[in-house]
Amino acid sequence: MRRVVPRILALGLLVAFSGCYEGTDADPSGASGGSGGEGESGEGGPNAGACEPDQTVVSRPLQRLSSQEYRNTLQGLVGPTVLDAVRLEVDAVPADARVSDGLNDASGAHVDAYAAVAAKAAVTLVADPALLAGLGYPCLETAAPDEACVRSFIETFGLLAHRHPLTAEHADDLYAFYADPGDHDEGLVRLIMRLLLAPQMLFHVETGGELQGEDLKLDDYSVANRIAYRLLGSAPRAPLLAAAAAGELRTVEQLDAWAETLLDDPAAQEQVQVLFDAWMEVAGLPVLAPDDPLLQGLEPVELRAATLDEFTAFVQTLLWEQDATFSELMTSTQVFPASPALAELYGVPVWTPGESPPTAADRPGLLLRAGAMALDSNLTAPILRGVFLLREVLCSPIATPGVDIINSRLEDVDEVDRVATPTREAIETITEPVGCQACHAAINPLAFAMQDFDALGRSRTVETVVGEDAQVLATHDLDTKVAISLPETDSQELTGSRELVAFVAELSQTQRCFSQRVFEFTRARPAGVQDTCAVDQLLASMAEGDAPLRDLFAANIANEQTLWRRVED
Amino acid sequence: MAQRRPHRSTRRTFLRGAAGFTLTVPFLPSLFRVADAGLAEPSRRLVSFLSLNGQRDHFWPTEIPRTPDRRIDTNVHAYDLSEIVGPVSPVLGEAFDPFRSKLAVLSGLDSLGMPDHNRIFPLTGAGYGGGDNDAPQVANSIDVVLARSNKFYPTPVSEPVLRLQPASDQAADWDRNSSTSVRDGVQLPGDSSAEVVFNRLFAAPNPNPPVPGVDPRERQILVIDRVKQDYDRLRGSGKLSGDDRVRLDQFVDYMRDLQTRLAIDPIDCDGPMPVGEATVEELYTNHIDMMVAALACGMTKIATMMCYQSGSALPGSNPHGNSHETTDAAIANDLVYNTWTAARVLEIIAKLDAFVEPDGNTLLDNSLFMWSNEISEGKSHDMFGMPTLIAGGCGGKFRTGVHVNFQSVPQRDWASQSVWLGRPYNQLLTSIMAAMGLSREDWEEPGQPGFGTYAYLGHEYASGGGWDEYIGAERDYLPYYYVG
Repeated sequence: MRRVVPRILALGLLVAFSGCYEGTDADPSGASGGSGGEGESGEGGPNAGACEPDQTVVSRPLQRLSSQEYRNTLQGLVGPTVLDAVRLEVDAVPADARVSDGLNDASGAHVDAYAAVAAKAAVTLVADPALLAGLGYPCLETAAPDEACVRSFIETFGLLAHRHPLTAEHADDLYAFYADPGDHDEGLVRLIMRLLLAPQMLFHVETGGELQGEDLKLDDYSVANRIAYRLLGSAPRAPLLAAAAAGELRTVEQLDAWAETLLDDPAAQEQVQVLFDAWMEVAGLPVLAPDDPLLQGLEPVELRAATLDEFTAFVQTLLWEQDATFSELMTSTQVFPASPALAELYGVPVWTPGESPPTAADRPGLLLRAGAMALDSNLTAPILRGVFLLREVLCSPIATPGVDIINSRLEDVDEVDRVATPTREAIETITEPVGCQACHAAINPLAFAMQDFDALGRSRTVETVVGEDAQVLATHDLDTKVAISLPETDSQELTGSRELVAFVAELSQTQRCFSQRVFEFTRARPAGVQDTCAVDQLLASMAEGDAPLRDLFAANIANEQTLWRRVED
Repeated sequence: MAQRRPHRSTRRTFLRGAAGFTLTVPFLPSLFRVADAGLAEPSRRLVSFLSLNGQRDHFWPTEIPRTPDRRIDTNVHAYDLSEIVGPVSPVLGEAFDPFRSKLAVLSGLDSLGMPDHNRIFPLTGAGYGGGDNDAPQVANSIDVVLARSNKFYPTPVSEPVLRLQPASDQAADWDRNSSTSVRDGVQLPGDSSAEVVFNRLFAAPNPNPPVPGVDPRERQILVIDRVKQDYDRLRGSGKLSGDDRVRLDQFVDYMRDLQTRLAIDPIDCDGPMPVGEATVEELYTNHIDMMVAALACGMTKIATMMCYQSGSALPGSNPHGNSHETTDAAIANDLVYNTWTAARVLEIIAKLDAFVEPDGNTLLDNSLFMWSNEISEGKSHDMFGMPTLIAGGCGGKFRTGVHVNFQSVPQRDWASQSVWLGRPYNQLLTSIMAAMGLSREDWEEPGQPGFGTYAYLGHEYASGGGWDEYIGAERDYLPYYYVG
């Protein structure tokens, strides 16, 4: 699952120092109670879903747009043609860290990239007035637009760039700035550049509203921005802006109505897909060498594409066509292999989009999609899967050993006689030292239970060791029987990945972790201790996994917290 | 707005500078009209820089072991250079970091020519027929192909290819006093005198002067001034926290830094002011300044520079001798030499990137700058995994900010690049010509698909086998790296 981790790093996870769990500002597992919920959040807490405003209205420092938000917002402003023209400059915006690792502050490289984007986008737009006309500013196509035309542009483009109406004073200032060079083209270039570099464009500025003590009751436009970025990953569009202008974004009921409306929007559904892709780390899906024995003749590039498509079809169909609950998402045996290669890997008929999908009893739920399973090494796959489950699905943070430790353990791994030693035995031996067991006592059982899938995500009943020329060197019986101990449960004996995912799906720790991931992704920042109650609210909306997941995404918008911001000096 | 200097530089101006003046006269920025910009195809340039005697592992990114996890396609492995913690490599040190997003390191590009000190390699992918002093294997290098094409030069320019060879000891070994170019089977000479080049380029009026208009750098500075006021205005809001203001202040500081950098004007189309030639570094600076000015000001779209002097003229004395040795001292000297060479490369990259073009890209963005060696490493004269650093994306035609390895099995050990099949370097050359607007009929010889020689597939260095896979692939462009 965490295939993007280099093998060398992944193998390093074999080793741990004393104290496996790394510190975070929140313990969403419920194991230690965190804060806000104070020991009650493991089950969502008795107050989950009924947080007091003081528990949910939090102070967060001014946050820049994530790189994805910036790209989406820019496209909404300048259109796809200009976005394509500035793709080099946009690509120069530094990539963000994983959301759960925290969004990096803006850097000099950000400023350089933003400035380059602004300059080139402005010049491109002004050099071809047809582009401006296509964006809804037809009067700018004339050779010498009048003042009314330019002021109209300032009002509209300014609203979209600032995501808030300009004051009359600000609009006058911008017009004077435009008029200063005495040349329409030059003035317009400067004006667009200024708007594209404005703090309201590059940051989530929330200053509109009424200050009540240290809490700001956000105005409708700020609320519209929150709704749009959480659901669409982009700026609000015209209907939402109109609702803001009409003062229709002031109650939880109004927010709920908008959430329901937007969740039917393909853009929101696509954004949810991005969330699942990020959660399951599908972007790191490997492309194996054509002669990799794991493939058994399957074509690697085609297989990778088919695997990604199947993952998307699974999520989209269950969420939006079947209104699936979290439990269903985690346990459904429906599969969607539209390509013969993946159908062969899954051992089912090819699925035709629009028709009922086949089922695969040995592959229940999101976690057993090939898109979530595939790695590039049979030896390391179990450990990576175990680490992934702990970190990303159960939100149990695990420390990563240093590179020197990793390198020393690599030598042990390279010395494993794969022909004589089953993977489970090899991993048990390598992770036997007490120092390793600090983490591997938790990792290994999860890893061993999932051995009934090979590194490619193909179901198997025996472990086959294959040489470079694809000849079978040895077979080993699989031992997938494990005892799982997690904070909220007694030790549980399980056999194989099917039992494991069914067990994990029902844990409130898993459901809470998913709630946390949704919270983090939609806000492009990690959840902190102060967010405990808000995450609990999302957990409560899942009704212990039995409510449609759509409810959770709606609850992520439709709550009192969306209407407020705390201002602390 | 900056004004053009009222007088044109003269030979006397050059001599005065060369005599030792180190006065830095601000270069004028590019000037253009908005109406000339927009979605028009950028004017793409090619800059080739050759240093000799190969590289060692200190050239290559230290992260090659990670590439097996990043297979993009058959024989394509790639990852972002931004993922490398610390410098890209010892040779491509921290000074390259500001340009990391505009670089591409290419591994696994194999020469199909005879192994030798092939100074014509960068733009031919080949060498000499039977040895170092024989005729070139290829009739025309790609700079010549490009220069002859009216697709690349729809309007004639004064210097279709600027061939530079800043050097003071041309009679030295392994050095033919020539450029990397081949025309009709003959290796062409390069210019080694900055004064001669200066007089040729700048003594007469530029036939393609920049169109008067607005300086985009000054525009950026002006706009950012107003944007800073916008940030200050927001900062005064009573609805921001102290942390918010800190972040805004930090952002404004970054904008101020950008303005400072923008204020350093990079180019004088009337002729750059020489900085003297008391040192070899100044010698190179003079050549580089003229090259960048010629590229920026429309005098040429192709420039080549050979960087080599034998003996002790450059740091890390006796580079050729060192390259054949494996002693610690020789390796250390090689690092000194290649780091010094990298500094010249960096100077070119930085100066290309300092010039903003009418389309808003920098000159570097619209160019393809390539740093090549004529052999992959010195001791064995290997031709596998030719060291290739690219800067700029040729106006979006090539990926940047990446390390791409074209080996079938990427090797962490640079010396093992000969073990696994890569791709023909020729595919880089055809990709470049395609990026510049040419098509196959412009470079293919009758009956010969692709570009360059495939005649030596069986030479002694092909003993690893598998090279016959290149047959039939002559027309391929470099996958993934060439976006097209």
